[in-house]
Amino acid sequence: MSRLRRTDGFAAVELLVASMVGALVLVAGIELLRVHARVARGLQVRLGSLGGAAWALSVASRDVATAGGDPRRSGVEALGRAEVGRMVLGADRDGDGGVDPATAERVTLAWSSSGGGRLVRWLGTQSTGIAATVRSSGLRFRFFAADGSELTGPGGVLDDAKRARVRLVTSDLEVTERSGTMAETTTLRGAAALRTRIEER
Amino acid sequence: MRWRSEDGFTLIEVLAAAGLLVSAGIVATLGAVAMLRLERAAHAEAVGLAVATEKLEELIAATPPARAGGNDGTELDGVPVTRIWRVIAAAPAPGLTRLEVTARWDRPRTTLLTLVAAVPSGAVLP
Repeated sequence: MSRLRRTDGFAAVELLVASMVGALVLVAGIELLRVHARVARGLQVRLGSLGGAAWALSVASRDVATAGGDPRRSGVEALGRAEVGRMVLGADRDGDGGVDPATAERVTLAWSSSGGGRLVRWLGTQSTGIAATVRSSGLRFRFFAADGSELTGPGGVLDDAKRARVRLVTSDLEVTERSGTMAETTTLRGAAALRTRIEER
Repeated sequence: MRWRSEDGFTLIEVLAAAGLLVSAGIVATLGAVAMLRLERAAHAEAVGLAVATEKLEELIAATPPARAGGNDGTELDGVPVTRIWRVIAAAPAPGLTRLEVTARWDRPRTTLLTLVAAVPSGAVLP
């Protein structure tokens, strides 16, 4: 009978070798699965961080681009407040000649410490987080005039005269996504010109 | 019956089974590597789009006389991007100015992205 088809059992050495080979294959298989699971989780976290930052910035940029809508020419203020970590935008969306602060005509974008740090968007008095987790220094609005010069003020707050000169707003956002012990941070930048002010010059 | 045989497996059968296992492992690993590469490409594209949009918005925000073509290099989230922008008067029609921003980045592969906008050449409102 051939060696590979014998029926008289195995020697101890054969069993030991077979066990070792089997154990190695098992360990290699398990390690491969662990690596793949880690890679998949890492990908999920990184894409979550990237997608979260990109989406939040697209929302913020659209808010800036449409601020100052004033169909009745009643002098709506596009930028109610302009600070490094907070911005208040206004637009007369229903054409009644004013900005109702309790409705979506007033949009506030700001950092909030709730939930470990978030970028929060207020539509009137209702708020929702649009990006998390964001450190206190992870959100930075910058304001530029038509000639490209950056407008700054004491404590990062722009006064009325400077706010009136703002034509471009950029938003630097750093979003950290966590899953278990894994954390990935993405830093992206959004930019938007204040369209209504461009039309009027 | 083969599945109830007490003769054990032949060497060929064991090798074939091991080969299948190894092949499955290789395929899974290649898939994971491809996913990582795609994620890096997606990240670079998001960055490229962000910096190209930033330049386009800068051009839109600038006064018409201040708009001019140019190029620069910038980096965001670890991705270096080269930008080239052009300002073409009276295009695509008289009274309009065509703004073009092309962003190029080389990792994980060379990619070009061009954004185009048309803006009024002067004041719109009386």
